[in-house]
Amino acid sequence: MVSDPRFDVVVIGGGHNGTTIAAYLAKCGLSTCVLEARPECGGGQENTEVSPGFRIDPHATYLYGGAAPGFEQLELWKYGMRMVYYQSMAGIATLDGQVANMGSRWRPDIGEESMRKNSPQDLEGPNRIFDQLGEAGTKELLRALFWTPPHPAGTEVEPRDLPWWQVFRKHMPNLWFDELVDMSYLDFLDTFVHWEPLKALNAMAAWYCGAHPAWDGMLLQSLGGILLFTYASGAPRGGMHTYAHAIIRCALAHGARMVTNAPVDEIIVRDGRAVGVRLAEDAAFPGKTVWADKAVISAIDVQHTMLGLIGRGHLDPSFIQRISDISLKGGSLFVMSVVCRELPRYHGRDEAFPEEVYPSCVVAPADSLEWVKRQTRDAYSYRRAPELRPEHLTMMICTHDPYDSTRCPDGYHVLSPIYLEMPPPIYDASGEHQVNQQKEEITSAALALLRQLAPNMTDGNIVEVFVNTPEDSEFRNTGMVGGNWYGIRQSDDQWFGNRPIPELGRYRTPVDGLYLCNQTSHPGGLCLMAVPYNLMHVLIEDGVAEPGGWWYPAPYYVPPGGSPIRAGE
Amino acid sequence: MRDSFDAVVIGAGHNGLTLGAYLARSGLDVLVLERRHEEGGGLCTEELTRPGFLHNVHANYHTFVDMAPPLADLEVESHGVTYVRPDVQMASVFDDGTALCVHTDLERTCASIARFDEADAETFRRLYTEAHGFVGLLLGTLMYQPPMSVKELTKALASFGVEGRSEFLSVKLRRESINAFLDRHFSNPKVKAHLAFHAAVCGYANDLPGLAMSFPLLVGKIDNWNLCIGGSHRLAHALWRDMAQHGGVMISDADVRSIMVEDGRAVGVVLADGTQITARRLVASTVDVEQTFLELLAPDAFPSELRERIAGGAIAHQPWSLFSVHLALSEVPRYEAAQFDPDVDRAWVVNLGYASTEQLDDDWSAARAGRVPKMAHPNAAVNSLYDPTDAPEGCATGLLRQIAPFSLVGSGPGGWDGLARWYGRHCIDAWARFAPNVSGSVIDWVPYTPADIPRKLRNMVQGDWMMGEVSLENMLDRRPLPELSQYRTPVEGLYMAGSTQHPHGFVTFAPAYNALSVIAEDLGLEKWWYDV
Repeated sequence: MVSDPRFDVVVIGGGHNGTTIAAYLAKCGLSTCVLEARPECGGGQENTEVSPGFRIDPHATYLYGGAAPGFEQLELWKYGMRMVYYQSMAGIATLDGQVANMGSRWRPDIGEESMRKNSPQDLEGPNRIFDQLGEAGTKELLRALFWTPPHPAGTEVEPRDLPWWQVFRKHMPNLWFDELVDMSYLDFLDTFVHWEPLKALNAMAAWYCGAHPAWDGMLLQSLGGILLFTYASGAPRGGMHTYAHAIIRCALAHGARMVTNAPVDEIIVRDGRAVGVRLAEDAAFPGKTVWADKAVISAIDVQHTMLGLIGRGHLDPSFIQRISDISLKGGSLFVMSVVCRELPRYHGRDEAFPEEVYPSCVVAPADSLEWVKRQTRDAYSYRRAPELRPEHLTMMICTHDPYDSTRCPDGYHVLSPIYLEMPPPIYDASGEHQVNQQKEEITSAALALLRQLAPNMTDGNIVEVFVNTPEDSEFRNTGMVGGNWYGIRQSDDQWFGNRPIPELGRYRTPVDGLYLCNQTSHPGGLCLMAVPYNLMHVLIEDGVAEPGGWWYPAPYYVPPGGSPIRAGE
Repeated sequence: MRDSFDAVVIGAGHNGLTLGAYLARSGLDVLVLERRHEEGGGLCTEELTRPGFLHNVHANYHTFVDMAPPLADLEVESHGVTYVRPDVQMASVFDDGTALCVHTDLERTCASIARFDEADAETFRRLYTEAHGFVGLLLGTLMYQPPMSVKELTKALASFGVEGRSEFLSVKLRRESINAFLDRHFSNPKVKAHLAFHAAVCGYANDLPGLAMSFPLLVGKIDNWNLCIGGSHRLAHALWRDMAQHGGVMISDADVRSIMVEDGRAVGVVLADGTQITARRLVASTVDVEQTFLELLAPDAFPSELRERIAGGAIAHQPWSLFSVHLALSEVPRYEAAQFDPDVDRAWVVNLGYASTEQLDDDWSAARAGRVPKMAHPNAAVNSLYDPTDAPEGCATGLLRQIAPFSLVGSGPGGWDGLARWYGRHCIDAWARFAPNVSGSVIDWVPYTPADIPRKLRNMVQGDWMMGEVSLENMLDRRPLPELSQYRTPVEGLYMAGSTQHPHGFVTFAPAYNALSVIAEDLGLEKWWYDV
């Protein structure tokens, strides 16, 4: 009889976090096996060729993880990771005819010129934070925000001494005042930004970059999201799935085993310790039990892990209740992709966005911060699908092909994704399937609005339209619960050691040998390679992983029993 | 990215990956470059219609599963590939409500044929049994070694004494069409139609002289159609993984623009973004001959006479292609003919209505003349019958394929864009005539026209998914051209290892496997693999 397969570590879920931790652990010399339920690894790093030669991004679209230690530590460039850097990352268009091109990190002059024209007062201020921090300062701030494991429970630290505020204070002493730690990003924008469309752009961008700009205490996280976007100012060539390929290649090259079509039914717990997993009957894997000698790592969401895969008898009832109470449905996206012959010319003006500096994502209609506030409020406070009026439909319209010719054949363009904020289906006051039923209606309202903004987006110009509602997104990618790309909503009580709940804040669970490695843990989504990087610290603490000289820990990492590091000490 | 490797393989289709994996296991430092964003070439599975519905956009049938040495050599099963061999393999349903089923159980197949003609059933049994006995030998000598000439083959058959030992094999077959073979041995038109239909799905036209030579072989594996669970793309994953775990590297979105040649020897490639990659020992191309010789190689790198012939259209492509419809269905189809034979509802692939070889002949003629067959007779495959993972619970994924021209008379290949929805609907209607519940169960569908084929996979020139005509003139040592047939090229160190080569397209692994043995000979590699 053939014995069941046995590995040092079994990783459940082959999305971004699962493949990355597998690459890290395989590089440490551990025998590692990734079990993915879907036919393809990569999770949200997906590209679909909907029509021959046309590739869309149903989920993730930009590289946010440019500052990730993982690029160096896993040497992803060796495994085919190639970036395309964009001349312009963002643009604005309003219904009343204003347009602005914000340029990118590589072309700050474009943004400056736009501001000089549209709003000279905004030449300084939040818009310049990247320049003021500089590349090194930005990287340090981002790593403090995202690539730092939460402090051990019981570590006493004042909010102003949290790693990210320490870095901020160090680099921006003149901008620092105590009230910042309690501020929301929307308050901040209202206070320091003058031009309404610029406020709307920043608020919208913060939301799509993961943090909720309306939440108190989330100012720097929101700003950090935008800095992640600016820091990389580009996308993996060919789309996000090539980023997944590079991670997968790295894992494979170090000997990891990757199995697709292998859904896990149960985490086997013996004497309070996770010792392996049982696969579903229809899993495409010889052997239905896979043993893990050192650790089981769940790279799927915390609820599914704790409530779906572990027998209730192994967990405390109050713990179960608290896990059930977490909402994974923080915010949802309605995602459209449009194949067209010409890029949108906003208000018919060619000179606004010349093709060589075409903004990769345009926020429109960005007339008012109030509109954005209302939309995010609707999406978060679980109201209903948006009213189909322009002031409820501020979109983020992305395109990559002006800079990356591999996305579609010559003579065409792909606007993908076009995002619209939505309430999570389950909380939709009009019923769970409301958005699905309104799919066509919402699509045509959005397209009509797009035409209002850019008159050349006629039926003759639009070749094909593909739409994923939040329900579709969850269906095609079960990790995106409720069509949410970020796991749990990004509020102050769901950040750092509080995410998803304090006792799971350091990726350990009440079951020995079972660790969490999903966007439902700190710092959330966006394909940052951050959850695995942070988890590595904990696996090293527990003696599971022993990395070589290539590894370096986060500067603000606090080991158990250690005291918080203070800048300059 | 590193810029120097022992071997650079152009194209990460199943042949490119197979060759890459073998070379990597042989200790070579291998790089496989793929223009598309995904490995696998024709092994592509995508959620084309709705989330959760897996559509095999190209390769759907794996017919060499237990015969191709790479499956064992590269341990694809351990990389998570699972095959299912549906017990009702294929069926034909006819206008009069009857149906013929091919089972994995020979007795049941013969019983099904006997309902049409008892003598034909006995003939089939003898043909199958005889061919099945030869399959291993024939596949070994014909497919998994560099090709011999028709003459040599005839000689070999003659000296083997085939005429005396075999009822069906004969040296005469190399002049005959499949139709002639069927007419000689079978009498019922529907039985003949089904057998001709089976050959057509294999890419063999029943009216072409010479193809009878391969026909007994096709019958010998008529019950060996396998389904790759979770979509054909899984096999690509497995091949990639095997290669990666032996040190090989596959890079997608890497568009090779030229092959560097120095002193008559291929020394590397240049990518679209200008990256130069050195190949220390060999370059292998698995893409089409036209691209390799007219685009990737400089004109002075090889004899101008060869260049002129290729530019002049010397590469023979299948003069027909396939029009496909991919469907998301809310339930599996239920055929009216199930009243006649209930097994038809479990048949993986169903011929919708070809009831005589003449009907097939008409469609070949129409396709070759650039006309769309008016009366659609698509074949319908429902993978969900045997692969529950390929559709959401209770639902089914469907595939219709119809013989069709690549270039339409009057409007060329571009004409398909305007015709696709209409003809797709026509094909669905044809299905609903035999399985009425189809009409009400279509959740969504997308057409995939012959013109789409080369848009997605450039090397399938003119929608030719076989990457070269299957005809006597383009077989064995004449495929794709005599001087290229042995996998070597006039450029030293440059090999052809894709489906342009003997034997042909389909998931056979044979072009790569055969190229490997030539490369091993040239490079002095030790053959650790199973040598046919």
